[in-house]
Formats: sequence, C-alpha cells, structure tokens
Amino acid sequence: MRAHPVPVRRPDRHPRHRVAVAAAAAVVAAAALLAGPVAPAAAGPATAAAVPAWSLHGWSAQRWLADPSAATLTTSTLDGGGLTVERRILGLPLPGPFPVLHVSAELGFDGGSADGTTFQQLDNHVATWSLLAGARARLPVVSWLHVTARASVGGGRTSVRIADQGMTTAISDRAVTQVASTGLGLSLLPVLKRGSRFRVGFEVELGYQVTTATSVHAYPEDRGPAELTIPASYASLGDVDLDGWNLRIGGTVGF
Amino acid sequence: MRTLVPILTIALAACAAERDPALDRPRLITGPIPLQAQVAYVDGALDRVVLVDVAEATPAVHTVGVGRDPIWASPTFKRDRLLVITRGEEALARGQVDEDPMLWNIDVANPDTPPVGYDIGSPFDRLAVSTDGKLAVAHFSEAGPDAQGFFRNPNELAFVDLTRPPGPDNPVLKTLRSFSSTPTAIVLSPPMTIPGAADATPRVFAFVLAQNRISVVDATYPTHDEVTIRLDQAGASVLPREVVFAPNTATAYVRSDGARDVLEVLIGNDPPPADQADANDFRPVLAELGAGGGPADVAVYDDVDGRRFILAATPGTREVVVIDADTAEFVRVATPDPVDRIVLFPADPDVPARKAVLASIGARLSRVQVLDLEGIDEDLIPRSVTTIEVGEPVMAIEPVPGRELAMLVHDDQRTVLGLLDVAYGSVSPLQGVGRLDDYAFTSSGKYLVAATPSLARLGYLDLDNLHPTDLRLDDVPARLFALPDGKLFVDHGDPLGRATIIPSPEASRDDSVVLSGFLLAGLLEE
Repeated sequence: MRAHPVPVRRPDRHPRHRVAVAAAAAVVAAAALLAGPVAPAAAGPATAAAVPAWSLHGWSAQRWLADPSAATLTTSTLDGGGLTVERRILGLPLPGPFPVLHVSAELGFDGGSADGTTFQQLDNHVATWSLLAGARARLPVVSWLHVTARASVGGGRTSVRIADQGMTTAISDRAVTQVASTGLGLSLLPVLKRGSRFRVGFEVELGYQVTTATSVHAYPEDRGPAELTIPASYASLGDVDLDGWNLRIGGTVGF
Repeated sequence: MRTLVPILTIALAACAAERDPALDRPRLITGPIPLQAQVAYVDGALDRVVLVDVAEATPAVHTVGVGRDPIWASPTFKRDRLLVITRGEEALARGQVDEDPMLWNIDVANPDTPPVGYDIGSPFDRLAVSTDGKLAVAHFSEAGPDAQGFFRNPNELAFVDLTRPPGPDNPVLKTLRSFSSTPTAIVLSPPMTIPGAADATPRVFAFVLAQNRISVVDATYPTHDEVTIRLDQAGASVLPREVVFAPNTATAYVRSDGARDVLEVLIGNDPPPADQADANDFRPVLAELGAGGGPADVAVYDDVDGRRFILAATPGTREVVVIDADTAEFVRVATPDPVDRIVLFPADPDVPARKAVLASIGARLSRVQVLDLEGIDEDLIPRSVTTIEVGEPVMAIEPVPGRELAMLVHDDQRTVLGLLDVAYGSVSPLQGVGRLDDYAFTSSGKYLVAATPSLARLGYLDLDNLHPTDLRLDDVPARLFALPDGKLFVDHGDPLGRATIIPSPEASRDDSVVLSGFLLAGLLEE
C-alpha cells in the first residue's frame, strides 16, 4: 500500500518556464538558415528534374501517447496537424547508387488535441502546440520518390482541462514545454514538367515526439481575481507527458 | 502506400500506453470524515483515502492506498485513526486481482505508515468501534446481500483486535445464535471490569441488538460463547433501540420500542467450569427498572457522590422516572408535556449533571421543562419541573459543549433558532437568513458556527454575548466541521475537491486558505 504526500502550490498562477529559450534559439537559427543562400542542386541521374529550393508541407497527424499519465486523461490519439516551410541549403554528393543527399532547414508549427473521460465522470481535454526548427535530409531514390529523415526541436505549450460532468466545476492548467521531434518518411513527388522545380506531392512520415512533462495543478476555472478571493493552494495532479509515436500524412508543394 | 498507412496505424496503436482499469470505474467518494487535524475522503475508484491535513498553515494532502472497493469507513472514538472496510473483488477482467474483504486501520497522523489490513472474510458493511479504539466489530447492515457472492450470514460478526497484527486468531469470525432475527445494531461498551471475576482485565462487551433479543459477547475474548437475552417472553414484540452504560458497575441499560420499562443488564461474575475453555466467566443479571410507560429517551449520569442514576422519559404517562441504578429505587416526576428528549447539563460526561432539560419534540410544543437533579432522591426536596416558554415549537435541542446553554431549533426549515440559558431559564431568539443545514460548536465552546448551502457565507455566534458575525466565502458550503485544534473546515461539495480552511472564527478571509483539487491529487501519478 502506498502513502505519499501530494504537493500543493501557493497562488503563483500559471508560472512561466524559461525552458523555451533554447527552443527559441533553435527557431532563430533555422530562420537564419532559411534566409540564407540556396545551395545549387547537385547533378546526377536521380535529380534529372530540378530539386525545389523551397517546399511547403501541410499535414494531419495522429500521436499515439506512450506515457501512462496521458492515458489517465485520454485513450484517444492526439489529433492535429501542422505546417512547415523548408529551404534546401546543402547538396552532398554520395558514392553508390544514390548520388546526392539534400539537406534542408525547416521551420514549422504543429498542434493537436485529445478528449477523454476518467471515472465515467470527468471530461478531460488535452491540447498542445509547438513551434519547431530543424533539419531535413532528403534522399531521392528515384526522381519521384524521396526518402526523408527529419529532426527538429522547439518549444510550445500544453494545456489540460478537467471538468466534472455533473457540475459546472472545472480545473485547468497550462505550461510551456520543450519539444524534440524526429521522423522518417516517404515523399511521392511526381515530376510535373521536366526541368522545372515545381513539385506537388504526397508524404507519409512516421516519427517520435518527445516533450518535457507538464506539471498540472488544480486551478479552478471559475475562480475570481486573486484580490477578491481567499488565498488558495492548488493540489498537484502530477505531470502529464505527451511523448508518443507520430504518424503524419500530408501534402507538399515545392518550387 | 494504400496498405502502408493501415499497417502503421495498427502498429502504432500497439505502442500506446496501457490505461489502468481503475480509471474507468464509476467513482464514489465517501466523506468528508472529520478527524483530529485531518479530514478524510475515501475514493472508491482509486481505492485510496485522501487526507487533507490542516495542522499547518498551508494544508497538506496525503493519499493512502487501501484495498479494492471501499464500502464503509469509520473513525475511532479519538479520531486519530480511520478504519475502512473494502469489499475486495474477484479477478474477472484485465487489471483485476483476487482480493478478500479487508479492514484497513490507517494512522491518519502518520500517513506514511502503511495501513494494517485485516482479512475479515465476509463483505461486512458496518463497523462498531470501542471507545478506547482497541477493538472493532464488523457486521452486516440491514441492507441485505449485495450483487456479489452467494450466501450471506447476517448473524456473522468479525472481532478485530486493533492492537495486534493480523493473524490466524485475529480477526475472530463468530456467528451468533439467532431466533429468526438479524442484528439491527451493535453497541460496544466502554472497558468494564466484572466485579468479583478472577480475570480482572477490563472487558469490552458487544451488545448485539435484534428484534426480540439482545446478544452479549465478550469482545475481549470473542471465542467465548455469547449470551442471548430473549426480550419477547411476555409476548409483546420488542425492538431494543438504545444502550447506555455504567462502566463502574459493569451495567448496561437498554431502552426498547414496545417495552414498558428500562432493562438493566448487570454483568456479574460466573466462574466457568474448568474443562470448558470457551465458556464465559460472566452472567447477565436482568432487572426491569420501573419506567412503566414505554420510555422514549434515557440518559445516565453520576451524582457528586458517584451514584449512578438513569433518567427515562415516558411520554405515554407524562413522567420522567429517575432510577437509582444501585438500588433500583425510582422517583417519578410528573411533567406537563409528553417528554421524549432528555439533555443533561453540564453536557460533559465527566462532570456530575445538575439539571436536565426535557423537550417534547414529537408534540412540537413551544416550551421545555428543566428538572433540577440535585437532591432528586431526597424526600424532603420537592421534585418538580420548571416550565420555560420558548415562543416557537421545538424541533430539536442540542447542548453547547462546555456551557449550560442549549440550542433550540424551532421550524422545519431550521431558520429560527433559540439559545436556552439553562441556568437562568432565559431564551434568546435568533433569526437566520437561510436553512441551518450544518452547524458546529468550536472546540472551545465559544462560538456557534453555521452554514447553509444557499449562501456563500459562514455565520458565527459568540456564545459569550450572542453577538452574530459572519465570514464571506468564495463558494457555497456543503459541509462544515469544527476541528479539535480550533480550525474550521468547510467542504464545498466539489467532486474535484474544494475546501476552505479557516484558522479560527476570529480569522479573516486573508488568514484563511482555499484548497482546490485535492480529490484529484496525484491522479497522473497513479
């Protein structure tokens, strides 16, 4: 049998973390790379068609939450989507059958949410968004099929809301998080016009996203301003961790 | 690509975290249960006790795990321990484990100490605890069998020695001999020494009340045979309702519906045969004390000489009977009203009572009587009651701890109160703005604190001068407790957990603290 004290927090409502500084630095670095000169496309049979210098990606995503703390709130996947802008910055010649590896910098935004029920009584809502900067490697297997690998870091925010079905009471909390995301995907990029950079394609990516755990305290939603209410302490529910496997399906436009 | 996505989806779903089945159970919260410096809530889904500890300025929350499916919780008399009965379960689905019904003994002042679990064998749903906190008797209520199991024996009891660890002889399961009736209640005596017995150990006796019978079990030696007292020998059906004790003389007094008199049960010495290990060393000696009219309420007090008296109100004959417990001599005092409620003053059981306030709750009369108990057994002192007009029908009467004051509730809506000064015979009317659903007297006896669920406010009444004040709350109250350390605990009935802790009635809003979400404390770490 367990017995443990549960910390309570005094009124420092919605504290801000400073962990986003590193993520912001990464975003700034990626933005600088995006603004820099475009690398020339390396020549080779697989790149007979020109490789786009800029690409826009849009996708819908599902995340299968891997931590029991998330399963406490929801059994659903975290559903959402996002947008990324990518700029090719480097072409590396390779030995062997695949002559070139394209390296890009990218900057993106994604978000998602999930609903769940606990004790057949509590309605839970988990939402998160993040701003990510990173690098993507693109290996053209053939001119219309690319294998991609992606890694990005950033910062974001996670919010949790728990409401009782029978009453109007609800608690919510939110916190800044650090995010790291990886993915391995396939891009179908049919060549629309020989020699043109313009591409429209379809992408599938499987990845894993790691976020710092969010500490959740029971801040009532209906609580009035601090100066008009009795000083309060808020029980800690623990940390919710939204790590999990990501499946992204979407489209891309390159030019 | 068309087949790749479904395959990936299935594979990823297998990677998702597994959810604890406890999170999908319906959740029943038992409580709040006030303790010493804690207030307890029993969570029926997570199988845990949530303790809100208000000893410090900032409240602390502790959770203590117990067995599966808590069905009953009782504090000990001193409120320093919480006893929880868990139903257990059969492992029929994922996440379930086979577990027998258990009784958990939780040290609430030291929640880090693991609770002691006793295997009580049957899913009892009621608990009687001795006043010294050393013995507990688990028994069944009259609710009948639940949906689980096959047979249920309503005359089965589990005697638990809370001072010893669980073992083959602790608890002791015992089935009482029955005469077609089942227990309606169990009352445990304070520790009593049997006069003249070779074994001078103070014993706790369990009085098991049932239709037409009382069974007396030596709970200190539960393997010994019980003694059953038939109450229907005269032909009338009798239901014992109330038992009061005189521990110094090892005597119990029983008031019953359908009985004309108070039954005295004297626990006398009766040495057992040497060859019968389970035989009793006591024998109840019965006497009918002459109330004579079907007592509706009884009270017991000791006078300044230590003599024990029993007061029995018999509304049918409009009398109060004062019985000398040692001699069974009695004095009848006529009352103008059909008295059915007796309140002794001072209310402290350790102080000899000097007056009794007599009320006629059933008749809803707007007067009470005061009976002076000093010299009640002396022939030279006139025995009469003093009638006090209180202006409104009396619906309830409650003694104020430590004072010779009684609170009178006057109407069904509980909005009109009166404060009766027993010493002077005066009544001070009080008017409330809402229904007085919950009230408490502070441990010092200085304040009456009241709450009503329609108003986010606590009302205080200074009992020194009857000056009313109030404190605005942030939320409407649902329950109110005055804890022994002087703090006030207001539960707001929030299923997520919300309470206001007020250090004292003199404290301001800024001195108070609201604790939010404690019923979800640690939820994400379960």
